Amino acid sequence: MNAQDIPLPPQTLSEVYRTIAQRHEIDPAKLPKDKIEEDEFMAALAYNKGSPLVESSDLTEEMVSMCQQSSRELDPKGMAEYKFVPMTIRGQTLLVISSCPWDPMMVDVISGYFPQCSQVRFAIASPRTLEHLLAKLQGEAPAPVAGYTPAQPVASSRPLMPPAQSSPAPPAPSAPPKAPLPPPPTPKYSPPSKPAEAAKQATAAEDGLLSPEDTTYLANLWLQEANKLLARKRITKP
Amino acid sequence: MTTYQRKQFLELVQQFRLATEANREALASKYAALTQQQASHGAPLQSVLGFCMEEAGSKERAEAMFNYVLSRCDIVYWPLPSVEPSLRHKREVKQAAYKHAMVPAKLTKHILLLCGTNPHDIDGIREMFTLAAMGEQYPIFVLSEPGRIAKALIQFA
Repeated sequence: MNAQDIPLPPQTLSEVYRTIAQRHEIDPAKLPKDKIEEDEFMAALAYNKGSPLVESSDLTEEMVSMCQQSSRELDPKGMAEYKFVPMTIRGQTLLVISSCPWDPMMVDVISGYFPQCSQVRFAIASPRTLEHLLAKLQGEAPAPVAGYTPAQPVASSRPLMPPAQSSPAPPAPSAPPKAPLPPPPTPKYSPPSKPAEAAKQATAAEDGLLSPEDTTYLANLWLQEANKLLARKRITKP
Repeated sequence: MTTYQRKQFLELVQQFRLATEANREALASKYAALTQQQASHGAPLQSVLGFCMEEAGSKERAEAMFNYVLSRCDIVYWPLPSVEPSLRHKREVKQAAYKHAMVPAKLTKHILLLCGTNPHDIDGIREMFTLAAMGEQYPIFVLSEPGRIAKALIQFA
């Protein structure tokens, strides 16, 4: 497996390489990245995140049944799209198996379906293992409700509009949900810009109106909420 | 009980309001006597959290205690603790597991997953790692309920 197959944030990726290099007692710069096995890569990732690693051999009947019970209200297609499977709830803590817990949308989306859980904790699985688990869930899932037609994806939930400035990918999978972009400097409203008005916007900030970055931020925020609503409709069985 | 264990015990007792100030020492003595008896019989030692949960008085309160511990730490909850099959016949691993109420749940070429009840038991993690890890596995620690750990410990030969 190439590490590039897993869309990790650059910082997380370099931490994984550093961890592997430390284990082999070599300089991270000299680490032969293309020769790292998937198992070792995922193990280092799990170790860095302090999360258990779920591998194909761990997908016992007991675990699958537990996941099936926790995900019975969710549509497998939605779980596949967002790359997670809820495993169990303990108190107010939800344990989720995910192949990309660093996704900033992840905690937001999951929290939407499990509002009773104030904490989300992750077990990490490789994309292949998660697919394996989802296949098992689908294979054993009860037949869909008569008349139910899964909602067609109207728009891709990811990526959102590109941020105005390129910023490093957010870390901390188990951290509480964070806004994907920094808060706007001024909570003022400005209508979306039109091409002809683009030139005028340059002076908008000086006039006390929203800057193009603010507008992008607001548009992102709007899109994010829209995506959440769409995802909720798509993922929840009627 | 070591001094460190005693300190942890008294902290938990206080957090869970299990005993009045006057009775805390009595509760500590009860725990010490219990674990001494278990040790002499070669039985798994009751974890501090497990003891507190038993002293809780009701199932709901015991559950709330575990959830409280879970909510206060960043350690991941693991609902399926079991002893890694390749370690079930290792006597030293068993002894350490009994002593620390901690099971080595998974051992691969790259990972050693330890599952216990006490997020502060650094000594236990260190000892289990030394005994169970064969190479340079990455150690990962997860939490589970004392009852589930106790059931898992029975899997040792």
